[in-house]
Amino acid sequence: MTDTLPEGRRLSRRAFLSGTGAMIVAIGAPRLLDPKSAFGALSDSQIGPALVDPLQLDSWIAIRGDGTVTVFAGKVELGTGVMTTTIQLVADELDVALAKVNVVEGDTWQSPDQGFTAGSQSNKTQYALTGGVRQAAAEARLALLNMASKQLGAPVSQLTVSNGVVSVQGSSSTVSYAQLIGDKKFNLKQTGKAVPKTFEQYKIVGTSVARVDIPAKATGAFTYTQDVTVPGLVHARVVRPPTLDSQLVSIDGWPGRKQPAGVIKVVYKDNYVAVVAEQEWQAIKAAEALKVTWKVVPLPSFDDFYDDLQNLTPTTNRVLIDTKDVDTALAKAPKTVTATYRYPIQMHGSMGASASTASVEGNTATVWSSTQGVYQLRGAIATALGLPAQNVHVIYVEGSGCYGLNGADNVALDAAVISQMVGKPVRVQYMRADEHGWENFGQPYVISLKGGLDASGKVSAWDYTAWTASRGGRPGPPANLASGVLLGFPENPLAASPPATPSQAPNFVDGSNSGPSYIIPSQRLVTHSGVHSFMAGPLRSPSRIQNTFANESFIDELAYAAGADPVAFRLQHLTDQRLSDVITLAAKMANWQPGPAAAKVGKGRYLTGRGIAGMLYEGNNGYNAAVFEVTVDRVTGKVAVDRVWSAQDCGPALNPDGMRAQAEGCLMQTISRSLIEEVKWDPTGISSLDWSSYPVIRFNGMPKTFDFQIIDRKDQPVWGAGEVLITNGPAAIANAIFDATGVRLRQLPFTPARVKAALKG
Amino acid sequence: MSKLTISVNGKDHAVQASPDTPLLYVLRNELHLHGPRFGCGLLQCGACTVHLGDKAIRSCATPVSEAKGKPVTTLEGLGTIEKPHPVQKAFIDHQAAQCGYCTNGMIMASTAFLKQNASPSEDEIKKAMTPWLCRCGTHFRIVAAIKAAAKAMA
Repeated sequence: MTDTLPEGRRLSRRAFLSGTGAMIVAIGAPRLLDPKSAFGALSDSQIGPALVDPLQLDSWIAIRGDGTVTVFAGKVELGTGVMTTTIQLVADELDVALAKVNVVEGDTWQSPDQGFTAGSQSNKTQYALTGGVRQAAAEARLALLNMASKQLGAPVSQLTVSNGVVSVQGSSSTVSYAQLIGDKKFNLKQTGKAVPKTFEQYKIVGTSVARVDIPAKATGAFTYTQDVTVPGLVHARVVRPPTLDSQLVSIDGWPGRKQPAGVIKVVYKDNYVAVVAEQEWQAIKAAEALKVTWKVVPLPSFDDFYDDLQNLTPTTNRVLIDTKDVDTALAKAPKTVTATYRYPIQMHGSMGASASTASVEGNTATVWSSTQGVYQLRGAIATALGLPAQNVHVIYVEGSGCYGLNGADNVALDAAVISQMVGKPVRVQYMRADEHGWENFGQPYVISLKGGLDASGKVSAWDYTAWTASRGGRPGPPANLASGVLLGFPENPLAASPPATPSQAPNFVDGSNSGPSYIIPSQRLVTHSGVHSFMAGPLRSPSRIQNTFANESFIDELAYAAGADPVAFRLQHLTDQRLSDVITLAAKMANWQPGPAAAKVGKGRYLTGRGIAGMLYEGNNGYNAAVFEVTVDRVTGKVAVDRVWSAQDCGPALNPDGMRAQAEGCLMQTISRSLIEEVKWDPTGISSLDWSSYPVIRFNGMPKTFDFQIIDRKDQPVWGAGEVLITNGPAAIANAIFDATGVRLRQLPFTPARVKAALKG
Repeated sequence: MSKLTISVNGKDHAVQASPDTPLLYVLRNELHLHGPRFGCGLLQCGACTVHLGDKAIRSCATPVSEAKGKPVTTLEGLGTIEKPHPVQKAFIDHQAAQCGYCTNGMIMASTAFLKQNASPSEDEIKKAMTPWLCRCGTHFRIVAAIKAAAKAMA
């Protein structure tokens, strides 16, 4: 039984474990010459190339004999549309039809290592002038034109390309890309001399090209990681302890009954246990019924969590900015404001529980995974299996939307380890509780702010202190993931404090949005991080959503203290014109009525208000401003987001409809995270283990309207569009609740109980 | 383990499964139909939705034995890339998917819903679809697609 990945696009790679045994192919053997394709190598080799050399053009682009173009991309489709924008780019650079471009993504034997697909960096990376797909496509075009010039006897300057066919101006002689190089390698190093087209020259980039993956997704023809099967596959389920640090005492089998049907083996190591069975349902039932005795190491108190976070012995202290005059400036300020904001642990909560299929045979391993970093996962798996990294072939196959480090890497580690333990290809599918309870959660924060206003009502001082905690993170080391910890791999300590060399200039905005975007003369920014009991990792807008919740709430609090309009107050403190532009546009779209917040708090049951937030994401990756209108039910404490207006500037808009789709997704998630989401636990374990104990937004929580406008700047570099609007939600909603009720909420999520308690004061 | 015959997408299939096996695993692992998806196994998300007769049911918690004598339709049985069902076409036209993991449930649920209510209001759509979970935030497009599909089928 084999799986063919979506028709006509990418990944028509066959499951290749034909059972004929290993045929070792010399490292560096040609990989791309066979028209049967890029995937040919899979069927006859067991050890991959030492390096997919990013300097070699062939590592990025191949022209097939049938005129199609294959792009090898290290940035993968996570459901955000990146594959489509990559295809747009290559079609435009090479002047070929969109339908002729295929993408092979995230494959440690085939695609260059472009790091993680994360942080809204994919389009930014691929569309950069150097280092990504845009440069490679321009190099390929230049190489093809040079070949055509020789073949056609005409200078490059007289050549034009249409649909992959090169013509000489004013002549009927033509040659196609396929004729020039079809199925042959370029054998060229990237020269750096090819100049990509400009955004004004692009014809396909900048248009709302339909997503290439949606037809297959809407008809059941799409293959997700969860669907990958290979011959001889068996099924496994993990059996987790109550808490991460609990210890395995004994595996007691199935007392009082015989071993359930289909069970092949119970595998274990240190505190790691899994059940392997012939069929999936057999594995589920056997794992559920398996009796295991644990010595439970309890989790810390849920109720005291934020206090504990502030009192944690920090392992890392960072002074990001210190202008050395903050205490003086605060003492001198005629008016000061202090506030502390609390951001809970939240989860990725992917719709599809993560799954992975792996086959370890002797000294080689093949792993199909929806990881965000095939190379980094390869490292973790190689360590866990005791194999050289080169012998581990990690192949990306899209999974459920991840929004960061969900269970995908962890389950791939499981599949590889279990496959090695049982000597068979294994598919591990997490159950819902395995995904909810054992992913790498988003980090909690306590952020304390002190601000001073000068006599003119401008902010003179900004004093920020943050406490956060984490454990583990992305692979590399196996113990960055829960299964690696259970398997007994050593955990990495958090980075030690760097020497205190803070920027003495204010308004430095770091990649975590720690500082505000506003011009404030006196600033001090200090962060403390420590280790805690929960696995942690990047969750869409990591640290930035937490910091922006605090910073954009606090600027509103300062505006209120100054008796100022929140929009005007922000603009007064800005010199960044692009940020001012999105704030101004969002306010205009919302028909913003200037004046201090909470000036007209009603007396009825339902109170309506508006709030704004805006920021430059990561300091260099996209502007967004958003106005949220909320209704607060004073009786129940329920907050509803009714209308939203948002303006965004990410440089050139590559695919306006795709950008809007990302903004819509950000909007729904940010409402969910602001109003509903919080991971809970008791001493015996995580209690947020399904969709009723960790609810998220549904159709009944949709805003009535969402107006979204893009400021398209074709003269600017491409910035990410995937994480900007989400970052503004919590503060904009808090600001809107304040406007509606005159009550300031500083702890997420704004649940009915919390809002009701705050309104009672 | 026993032999059962079930009718899926208009064809009879003899399958080997214990009668308590959820229909989902039989569809996915025996018949290789990957339209229905495992999301939670708890009747909470709807990713596994298929039609049993005319009804949208959650196949993750429906024993295969319940499918005896009733026709099962999966996402694959509605239409194909070349010949999509009007609801599938509306989802494609409206780009109503991001990761697409929930798309199966959304299309199967709304197809069954539109048989009950051929021209629903936006609020009726939202209410009917609330038991189906989308985590990417594709809700606006799903609602628009269902409205368009209703129109197209009117």
